[in-house]
Amino acid sequence: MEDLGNALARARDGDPEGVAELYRVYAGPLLAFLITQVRRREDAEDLLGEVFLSAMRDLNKFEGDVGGFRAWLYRIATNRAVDLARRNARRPEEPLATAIERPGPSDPASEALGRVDRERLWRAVMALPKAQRQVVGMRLAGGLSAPEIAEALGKPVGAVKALQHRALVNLTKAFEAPYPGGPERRLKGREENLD
Amino acid sequence: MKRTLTDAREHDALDAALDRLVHGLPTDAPEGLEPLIQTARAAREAFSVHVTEEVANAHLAALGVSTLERRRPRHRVALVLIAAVVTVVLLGGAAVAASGSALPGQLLYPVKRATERIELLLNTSPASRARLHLEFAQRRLTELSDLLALRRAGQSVDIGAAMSAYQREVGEAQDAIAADSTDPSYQALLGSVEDQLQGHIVVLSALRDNFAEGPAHTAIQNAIDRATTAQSAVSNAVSKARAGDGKPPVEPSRSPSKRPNDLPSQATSHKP
Repeated sequence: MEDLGNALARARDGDPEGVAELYRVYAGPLLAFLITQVRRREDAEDLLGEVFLSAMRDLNKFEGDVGGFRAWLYRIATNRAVDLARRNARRPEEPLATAIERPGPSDPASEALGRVDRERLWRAVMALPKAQRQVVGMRLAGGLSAPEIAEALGKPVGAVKALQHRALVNLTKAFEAPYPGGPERRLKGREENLD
Repeated sequence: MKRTLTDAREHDALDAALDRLVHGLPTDAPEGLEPLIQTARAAREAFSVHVTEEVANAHLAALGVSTLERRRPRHRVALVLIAAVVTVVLLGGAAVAASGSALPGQLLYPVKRATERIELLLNTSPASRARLHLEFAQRRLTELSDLLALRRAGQSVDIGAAMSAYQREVGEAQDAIAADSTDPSYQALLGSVEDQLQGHIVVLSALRDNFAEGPAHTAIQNAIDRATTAQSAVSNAVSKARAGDGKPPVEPSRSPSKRPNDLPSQATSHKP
């Protein structure tokens, strides 16, 4: 954390090494988050570069700490993903089989998690309402805390916690895992309240 | 009220368990929440993707230039030279040269896209950015044509990626034109853009007609629709300009939306 604080300070002073350090730490999780938002890896990679460029251009206006910086990165990423979705709004949904992220053969995640499960999970994530997808993407792909997500999305922390709960209920249902207590009951009629 | 409190407690309990999960600590799932934690664990694993070396190097090259520009905004000519050196060093001269003909899905394609992003970075005026975006849109058309040739040869290709990128470039071009109607070459630019988009529509229509109804046909049709929309916006601006109605801006491809803006807020303090 101290190292990252130093990297942020150096980046703010215009040191390319500081910038590179921030990129090395945050780029992977941010890419995963962007894939959950835009589906195509190529689009997500383009946006990843744009997000960092945008952040570095405005870095001299940023006065927060490392945690705040991460929340800010995700806010920019969310906005860029929404812009892209709006541009592509006229394009019908593509078949998920060709659109979802597919890891390379050397990706350890694909070995630990069965390919079928992995695809089923990605399909379920893509099928979530936008607000739930944003929250679950930041939480589980980006590793952000609920307050950081609240900061990035401009929502109350309580709403973020409710959205992540609902998203996980929906994903669990899609995984056909048992959820005692009946998630349907919880979801019914409440889906649009916080989205 | 009781129900709300119960929900809030459950949300807090789940949140605490997720905090432990994302920090790689053992998670004692609260009773009844085990399935959700299992799902979260699987999702965390599935989301573990890595930035490829080519993409990372390309981004770092662009970021390096951007950082230098922030430090020395007056030295643009020198920066262009530095950018060229940084690009070649970080991305590899041979890779940059070879990436020119790379197609979506191929190893060097991210390098090709990254060098395009660097070009954009070094061209800040809306008019020059519009020209670049149109040039890149033309490249996406060329890629589409090459992909179709591979498809005819029996290879499996992803036409959707090229068409998605094409639509994006056209949208960016339209927005760049809309951003500045005071450029001295604005009218000439409008005419040029209008002609280029018309050319794109002709090419796309010819390619589309090679396909029966299906995903590829739809992807190309959507690209045609996008180009037609942009051309229509540009044509309207040309007509108004010819009628002596000042220099009206082209309609941007999207309207502003209500959302948190990109600028950093000052009250930001969280643990990473």
